[in-house]
Amino acid sequence: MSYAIPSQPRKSLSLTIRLSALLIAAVVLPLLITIITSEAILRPTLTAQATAQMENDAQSHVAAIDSALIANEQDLSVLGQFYAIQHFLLGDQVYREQALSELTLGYHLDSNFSAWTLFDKTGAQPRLSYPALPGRDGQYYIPPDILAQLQSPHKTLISDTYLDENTHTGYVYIYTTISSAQNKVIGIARATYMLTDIWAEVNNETNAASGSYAMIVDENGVRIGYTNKDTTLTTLPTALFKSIAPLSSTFQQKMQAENLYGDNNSAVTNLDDKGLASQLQSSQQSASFQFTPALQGAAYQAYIVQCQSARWTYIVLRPVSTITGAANQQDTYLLILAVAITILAAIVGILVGRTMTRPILRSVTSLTKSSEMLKTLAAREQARAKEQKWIVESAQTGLSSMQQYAKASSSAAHKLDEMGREFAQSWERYNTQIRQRNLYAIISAANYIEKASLHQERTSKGLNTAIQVTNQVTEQLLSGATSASDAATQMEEVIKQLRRLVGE
Amino acid sequence: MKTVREWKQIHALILGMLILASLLLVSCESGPTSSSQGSHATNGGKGCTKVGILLPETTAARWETDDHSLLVKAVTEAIPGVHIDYNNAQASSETQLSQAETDLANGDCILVVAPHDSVAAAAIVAKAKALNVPVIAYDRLIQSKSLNYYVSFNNVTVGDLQAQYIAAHYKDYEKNGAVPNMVMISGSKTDENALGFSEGAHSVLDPLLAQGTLKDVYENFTANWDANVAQAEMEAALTDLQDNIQIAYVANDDMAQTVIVALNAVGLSGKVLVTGQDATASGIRSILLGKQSMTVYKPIAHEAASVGTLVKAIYQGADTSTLTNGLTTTTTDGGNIPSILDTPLAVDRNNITSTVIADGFLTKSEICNNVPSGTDGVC
Repeated sequence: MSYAIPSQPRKSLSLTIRLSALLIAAVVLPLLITIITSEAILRPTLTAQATAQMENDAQSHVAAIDSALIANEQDLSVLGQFYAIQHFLLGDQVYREQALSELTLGYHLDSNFSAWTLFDKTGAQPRLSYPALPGRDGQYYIPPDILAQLQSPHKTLISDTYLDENTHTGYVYIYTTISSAQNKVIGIARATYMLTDIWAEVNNETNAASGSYAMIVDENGVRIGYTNKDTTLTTLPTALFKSIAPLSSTFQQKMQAENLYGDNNSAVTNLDDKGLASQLQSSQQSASFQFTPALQGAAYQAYIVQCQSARWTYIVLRPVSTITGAANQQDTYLLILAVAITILAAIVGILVGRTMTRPILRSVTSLTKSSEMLKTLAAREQARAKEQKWIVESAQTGLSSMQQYAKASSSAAHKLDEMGREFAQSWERYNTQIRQRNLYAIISAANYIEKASLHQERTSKGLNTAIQVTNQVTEQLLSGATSASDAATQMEEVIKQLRRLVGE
Repeated sequence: MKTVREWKQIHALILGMLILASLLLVSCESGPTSSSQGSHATNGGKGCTKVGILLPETTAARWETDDHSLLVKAVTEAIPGVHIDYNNAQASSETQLSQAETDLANGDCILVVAPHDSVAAAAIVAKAKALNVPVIAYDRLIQSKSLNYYVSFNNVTVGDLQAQYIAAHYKDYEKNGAVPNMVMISGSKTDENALGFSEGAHSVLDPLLAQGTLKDVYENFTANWDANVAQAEMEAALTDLQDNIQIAYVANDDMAQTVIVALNAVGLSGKVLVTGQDATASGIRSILLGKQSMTVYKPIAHEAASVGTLVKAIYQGADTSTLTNGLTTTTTDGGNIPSILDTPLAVDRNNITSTVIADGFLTKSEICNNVPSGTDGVC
């Protein structure tokens, strides 16, 4: 029988604790792995999903804006080519009423139109307009830079943004050149397009997700659309008509000259959005990124899309916390679940461990008692054997002395006998009678000693035999005691192992 | 009795199984993280054997009764063994975009698109361009400078033909020397064709209107070319003008039929000049019955055949400039799209036989139902 006994017994955890730990590991490890996976996979996936949603959202809004603007550009460019309008601009006043009728037709094509106006190609004065002749915006009816672009046929463009102070609504001008049959520019048609529907697109962003909002930034870096949290729309958003980066002095002069973004009393001020500004400097058609927008105290996921119809950028913003909220919530739930299951598993582990270790512990206790009894017995046997052996050894010593003595007596007697015989040989010198009596007495005594010695020798031989037998028994007893002691030691080792197993 | 080493091995085994089970659990929970979407790049349509045909709606009868079969025939003849994905957007721009995306994902390498919305369909062109798939705008222009080809009729000419008929006959409808009142019910303002029709019509009618020999009392564009809306517009105009209407410029035959219903309701059917377009069976029948004055016959077979010719040239990688002859159409974003523009024909009761019937576009059985025998020598 062999035992794998560690050279240095180490203190180990109890079976109960180990069972609990295993159970906890069994239930908590998957949860922990799920949480780690959540961080590694789910969170990026959610962000990607949100980005995709925002992309769709932004694309659909931009598509709606582009559709509206392009359709209106199309309307203006086609109606601008109507016969009466062309001939009116060529100077035939007969066509004035029909041209006005056609402007009226165009005006009614979209509820966001607030005016349709005709200019000659110098743009100096409006020639005809419905429903009323427009005023100047700052110093101009048509700013010089736009007028310069409108000197070639089939040119359509959209202006920068203005603010109607009365209606608190932004508007842009859609311009198109009107050409003659000879394809020469004969005038300019302009539709004043209120941004009501476009702002509605921006305002609707709040419906996309909690905390979500949107803005439109024009090519000058000015926010021309911004989600209005005032549902009555009686006030304008704080960030509206504020630039995302400082404006150049040249552009500020242009704003003043053209009365862009409102009158001089509400001139554009700067509201820095450096993260956004740096993104807009890149020429990407669309992009997704994170930054902390102006007026917001938290990180936002943003998706930008460039409009095709105008040099505008539509930006959808959604709090990162709402995007990863599901992942955070799941992590929280998993952690709570993990803690609850850990406690449950620990309790179950303890109960199961105790149930399993109780009979083992009982056996251990019983074995311990047996072992101790065995050890006690072995000790006693060993002590007795040692005592017995000591006695035997003493007897052996005495016996040995007696044997020596007997041998000496025998030797003396033998010597006496020899002397008596020698005396007898000197017989002439003693009285015969005395000599004989003494001599016989010596001889007799010597014979007796010799006989006693012989008898003693025989007795010592018997004793020696008995001692040898006793010695043999003692040896056997000692050997048995040693075996019992070894057995007890081995039992103790088994107990130690059991104890180590159950941890008690 | 197990040794410490054996216990350790068991522990490791259990732990390994737990981790494996966890990973399986997580992988099951995670599910698919991405889906593969078909993407491909084509050689600009050269060698293409998968063609997508996307038509806009079923409101106007022509798309399903004529264009569908004619386009399929033309493309089938152009490319041997071609696979055609046909879709009708049912008057939804979103649906049409989705259909186009599906076609592109399925590997279609030439798209023939009659857009529901000229502006919204620019998204289709953008997606196709990203895959180097050429797009042919069929019958209606797509407002994108990335559009590859445009096959249609000269829309301005269509309106011109309608207006010329009015100019030639409006005096016949004068009542007691009064200037005839005209209602103009145009097509959808989101359809660039409708604007072209209107532009053509005004090019002829504006001088009359400016001179006061004809009076435009009502003019509107009709969303989605909806015939029911057209009827409502006519009813409203009749009410406003106390039925004093002599001319009805109606942009197509489908709307003309419901305008006739409105006129019939006030006893004016056959007494008002009504125009139309597309030479539909119902439109020709109305002409034969005297309820509609004219229509514009756009030989759709020619238009579809032009598409077939263009598709064949693209498939073969041949030069297409000989087909377009340098003709271009301008888009609002500054594009000049190579175009094939076929010529439309005006049809009234005098030339039905020599046009739509002679071309096989319509049969007598289609147009003579409920028409008295011998009418105009057609039925």
